Amino acid sequence: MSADGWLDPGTCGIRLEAFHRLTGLVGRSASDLDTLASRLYTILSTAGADVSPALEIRRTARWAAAASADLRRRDRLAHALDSRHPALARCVPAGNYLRMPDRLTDQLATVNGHEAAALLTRATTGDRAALAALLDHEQDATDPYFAAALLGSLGPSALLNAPFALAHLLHRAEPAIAPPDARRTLALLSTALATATTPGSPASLGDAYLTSLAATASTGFPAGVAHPHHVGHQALATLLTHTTRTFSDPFFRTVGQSMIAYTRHAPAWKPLPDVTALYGLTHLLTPPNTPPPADILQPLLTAASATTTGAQILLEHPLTEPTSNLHYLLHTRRPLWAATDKGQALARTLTTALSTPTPLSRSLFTEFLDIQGTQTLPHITYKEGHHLKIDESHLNDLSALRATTADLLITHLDDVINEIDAAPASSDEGYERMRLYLALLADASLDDHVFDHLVKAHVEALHHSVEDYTRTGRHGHVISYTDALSRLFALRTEMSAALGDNVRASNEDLKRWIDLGVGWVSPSGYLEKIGVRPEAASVIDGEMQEKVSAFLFGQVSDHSQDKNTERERTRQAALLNRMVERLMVAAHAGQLTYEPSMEGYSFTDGHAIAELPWSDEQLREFDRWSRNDNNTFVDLKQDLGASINSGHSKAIDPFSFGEGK
Amino acid sequence: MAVTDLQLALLRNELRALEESHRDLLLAPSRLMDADVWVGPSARRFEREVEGHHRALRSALSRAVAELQAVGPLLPSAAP
Repeated sequence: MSADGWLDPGTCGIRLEAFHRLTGLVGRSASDLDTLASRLYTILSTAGADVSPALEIRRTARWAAAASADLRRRDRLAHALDSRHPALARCVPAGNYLRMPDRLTDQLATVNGHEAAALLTRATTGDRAALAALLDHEQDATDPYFAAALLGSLGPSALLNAPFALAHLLHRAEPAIAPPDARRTLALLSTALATATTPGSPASLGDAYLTSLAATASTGFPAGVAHPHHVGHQALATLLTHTTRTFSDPFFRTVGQSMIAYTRHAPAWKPLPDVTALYGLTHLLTPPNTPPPADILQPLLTAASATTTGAQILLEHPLTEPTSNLHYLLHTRRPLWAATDKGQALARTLTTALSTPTPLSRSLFTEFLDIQGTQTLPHITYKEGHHLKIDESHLNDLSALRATTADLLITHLDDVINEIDAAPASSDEGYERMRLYLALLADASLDDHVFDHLVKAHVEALHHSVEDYTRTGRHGHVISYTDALSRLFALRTEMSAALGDNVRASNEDLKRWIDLGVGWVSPSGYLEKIGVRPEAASVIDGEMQEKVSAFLFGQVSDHSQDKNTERERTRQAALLNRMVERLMVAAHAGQLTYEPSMEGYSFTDGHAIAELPWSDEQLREFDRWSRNDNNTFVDLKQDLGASINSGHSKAIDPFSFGEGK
Repeated sequence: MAVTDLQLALLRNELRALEESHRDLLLAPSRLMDADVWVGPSARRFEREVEGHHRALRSALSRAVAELQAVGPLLPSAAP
């Protein structure tokens, strides 16, 4: 084994006294060599001999001078480290060594980290000068060596004590420190914590530190008082609130899961405030643009939402618990979210964890559907006449989760639609899953922005299916997505009605959504679809572009003002039919070539498509031909009509299941 | 510039003395490194460097002595 076989990568070992001797020797050598080189040059040049040996010795003298400076810095840092952290010393057969980073910059960062730890200790007693000196190291917190030295020197207990101590200093009648300085200190510590616990760096504190931190966080705080009433997790939550860095997977696996485990077994079923809330300092200590946490799990969930794996780790099923953390957070803890942020922080974590195209994400989504769907469904019940009743108070427990629910349903939209379409009309598992999906869609549709998002996604999917249909002639997806859109509007209408909104408002909404849906296709896209080559479309003047697009978009909104529809469902069906027609016309235009059924229409010129620009009359005739004489579309029209007309009852009636209907 | 025999002899003497006194100037640091007073990646690099410069120093001094030996013909020393 080599003499340094015991060293970790990126570190070195120094025998302090001998190294100091070495430093002195090299320093003196540098001076002697320089004198020697000068004298030698004189001798050789006086004798008229070749002076290159003297020049070579001068180079060695320069090397020795540089090496001497390097050794002196290392010697000073080594002594500084030894005096502040004697525990770095290690005894091996070759001697008693001080272990330190190998690179000089890392050694300096390490020394600064130890110095920062000493400064923090003084700052938390109200020493303003120490606090100012500590904050000079703000930028160093992202350095792994600085961070590891700071946290290693402090230890978990002093780290977790710091938020309590800072809050205590601010809580006085005459605060001993300024709030911005306290926030900067918390941010420094949080950044250092994230940095030092990220694996991969030679300075990383590793699993042992994380285990110790997790264990310490579950003990009483502030440390050192006779009867501590608080717990370290509250300080950890405050640090997480101030994070600007991403925490590692091992951090969430050890410390994050420990925090959740603590809340699972906490004696009181009420929100557990972080240190700032505990001292009534949220207005002073919460970072700008950050909602003040009402419970310690909120900053944890927010921090975990920065990475997919971090978020997924938090939702795992710990071996020691009867249910998964996802179940605990989403179901067991629901009353606590209802009393705090309505599930906002949880929503962030779920969105990150469940939105990737991976088996784990899919599996978590299935679990989410079961839990959230099952606890939503009982609050939405069937009302005679294909209507719905809702228990509004409970539905809003996790109202902040609606956007996430919509995001997840959209991420898995094809699967969702396939499962709903495939559900048999019986009480088997598939039917129940369909009911869970409908409950989630219904609940999500209560939020205007979320519903907007859902409509856009459904129209986009429908649009793609229509284009696919015009290319391939397969219309299965067109029917499915039309069904899905019809279902969505039906749920929105009935949920709005159940809330007491009048039908007129609902219809106004609907018109807006459908305009939005048709408008999803860009005007220039339309131009291309009606036969203008892309390169030509781009040079057509804006007026013409506007004219064509306004004509096509105008069809739906004109129709929505039609007074012939008296009942809302008929109106919905007509609007939806019209929208699908518009999409079909647009899609068909993209494949436009002359065919016999066009004969006599004004947009043709003999047996060819007339040159652009078309007049309004030509556009109207093209629209009429597309809907009435285009055989491809006419074939589908009947199926679409049937699908749309039955959409309302297909969406609402499953809620009657189990009520004897 | 030419030098006399005497001057050259003095220079040779001085050079030999310098060679004698300085040839092991870097031996002590090299030995300390051999004794592992400092271990690790930078230490290994320094050890290689100090050994290299130790050899280079000796070689330069030997060459200087040889160069001076080869100098000539010389001006005669001043007549008594």
